[in-house]
Amino acid sequence: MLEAALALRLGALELRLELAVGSGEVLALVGPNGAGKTTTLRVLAGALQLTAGRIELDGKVLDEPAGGVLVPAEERSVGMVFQDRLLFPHLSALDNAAFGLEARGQPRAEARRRAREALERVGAADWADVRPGTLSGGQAQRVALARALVVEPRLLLLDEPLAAMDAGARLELRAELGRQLREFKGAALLVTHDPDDARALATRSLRIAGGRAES
Amino acid sequence: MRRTLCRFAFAVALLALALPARAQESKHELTVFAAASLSESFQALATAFEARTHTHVTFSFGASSLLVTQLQQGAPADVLATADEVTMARVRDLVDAPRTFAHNRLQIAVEKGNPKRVAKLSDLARTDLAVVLAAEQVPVGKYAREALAEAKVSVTPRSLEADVKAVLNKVILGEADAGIVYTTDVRSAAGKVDGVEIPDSQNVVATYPIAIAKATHEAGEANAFVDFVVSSEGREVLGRFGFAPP
Amino acid sequence: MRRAPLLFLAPALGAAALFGVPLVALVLRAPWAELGHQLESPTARDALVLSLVCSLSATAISFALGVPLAWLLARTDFTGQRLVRALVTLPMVLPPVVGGVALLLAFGRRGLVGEWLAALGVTLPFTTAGAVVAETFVALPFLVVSAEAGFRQIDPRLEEAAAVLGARPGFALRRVTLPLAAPALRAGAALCWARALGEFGATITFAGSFPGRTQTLPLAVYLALEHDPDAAIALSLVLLIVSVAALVALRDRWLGA
Repeated sequence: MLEAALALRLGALELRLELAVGSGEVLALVGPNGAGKTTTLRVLAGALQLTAGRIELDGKVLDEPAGGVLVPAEERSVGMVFQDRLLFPHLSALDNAAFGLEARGQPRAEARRRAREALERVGAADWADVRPGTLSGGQAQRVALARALVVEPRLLLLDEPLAAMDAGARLELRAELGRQLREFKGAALLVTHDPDDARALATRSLRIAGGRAES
Repeated sequence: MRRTLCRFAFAVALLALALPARAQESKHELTVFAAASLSESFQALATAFEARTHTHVTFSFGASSLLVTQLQQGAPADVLATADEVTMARVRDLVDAPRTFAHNRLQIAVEKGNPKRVAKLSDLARTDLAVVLAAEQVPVGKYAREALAEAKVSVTPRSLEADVKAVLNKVILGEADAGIVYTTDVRSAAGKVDGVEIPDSQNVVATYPIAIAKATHEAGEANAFVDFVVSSEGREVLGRFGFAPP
Repeated sequence: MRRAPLLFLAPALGAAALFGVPLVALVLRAPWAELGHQLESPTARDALVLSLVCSLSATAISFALGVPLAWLLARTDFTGQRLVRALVTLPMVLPPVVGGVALLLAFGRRGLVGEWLAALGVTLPFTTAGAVVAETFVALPFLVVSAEAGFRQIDPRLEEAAAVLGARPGFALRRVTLPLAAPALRAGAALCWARALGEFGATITFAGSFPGRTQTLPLAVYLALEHDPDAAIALSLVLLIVSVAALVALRDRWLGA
């Protein structure tokens, strides 16, 4: 369960947003470019800090300036699929997927085993030993998804997961994403500018523009 | 890009204009290769020489051994002056008959005030002293070794420098406690170093020859310069810097 | 392959000739018959061993000091950053002898810091350590410049992604930043080593010249030139062969794009 009251200034953007996402729910953030959708995800992930407000995940406070609480990004139970995927170019798909587990201290063999399972679950097992540079958009997206899910996060963040993909691969991936989101037990936020994707994947939608929710 | 190119071309043109102006001042150019220990005295000789002729003298000062090697490789020198006869002999087929024009003696250069109380050649064997000599191939290095061998003093130098001025500089900078140089060098650095005399019985006489390069294009001017150096006036100038007459 | 415009072809050939002809001359004029004998001399052996020891030490020190500095310059924004960057690149434009004099004024017996070092019994001038310091001084900038460029070209979002995935700063550095910067770091280290190996002016001014202790190959060549050109050529050839061999080996494996 995610409860957040966000207040943040980043450059010209002033973000003021209140969110609540329950376990098993998928909240879609829709809106035009520059509305603050990615910024919202980044501050929830811990890449940015709040100026004021509070982020609480499953009862644990992650960020509260007034109380002097700030849990660094690496200690939050968050999985994220980034815009442009951001797969590590020097690692194979398998090592990419295993990265989060190894970062959290799991021994390499165990991490790779679980990563391989995660890749299988998203249908990306065939290219486990391939570097991201040679993967197609759809393939890379699946690896990015596995990488985020394998750490069993309490909060899943997806930033434009279906952007820049050709029509055929898109529908296939959307179906896969839908499957994964339905199985996912934690809270999930999905950023998209496509209302069809929002309808297909999310349980609820929130429109934002200029850093604020549109009512 | 075009503006930068224009600016660059303008700067080059300015430089090009500035350079020839200097050359127009004198009709003749003389290139003299001279041992490092002759730096100050030969500059003075050149000033006097230029005042009475229309010749401009350019110098290349360095270790005699290095200058001779450069000459062998075709460096354009008109006149060569070395700090010993052995080095001059290496190019006997490239120069006309050399003439001796000065003598020099060795001296120990020490830090101003002589804080380490160096009094004689045998003191240089002390392990608490940082002693610097010139490399063996350099005339003053050879002379120093001769003197030390004669006096039966065994010295472990901290460094073997490329020429006599480098030895002097190490003492001036305070990096070395003592270095063996010429009396003329100590004199030229008066105020920055002190000199410790080496008695005649242990000292070495350095003989300085001067010669005209066979390949010179300025035979007349070169001869005039050499004549000036060995003349009584030249001897007087050299004497002011501490050189003994031939 | 595209046909090269004549405008570029001529100067390019000129550049190649400028590099190529002297090296070819060195090889052609080398006294090959005597080479073995020359190289067996203790002077040559001492100089070669000393050169390798000093240049490798200087590179290791440059790496240890330079990589963190490069990272700070690339990834943080601290006051005086421009000044630090200018200072670090200064030795590249400074004549090496000037660098040597500056080192003496800093670390010599009467130097700013040297005085205190001397009181502690540490001397740098006239020692092998001093030669290493001189070489590090001139070669470190090459490593820093290359490393900084290497760090800069890494998408900072990748490091952010690593953190969000759970990587502590140390882990992200080891597993993401350094591997991605590795080609630039290796290239920088190679340049740094080559510069250190060839250093002359700062070494002879700061550390002096003594066989086996501070007389590296370049110094030995310079001194040999004065009385034995054949020995000088032989030593130069050694330096050339060692440098070329190392750079070729490195280029094949590490420097390739």
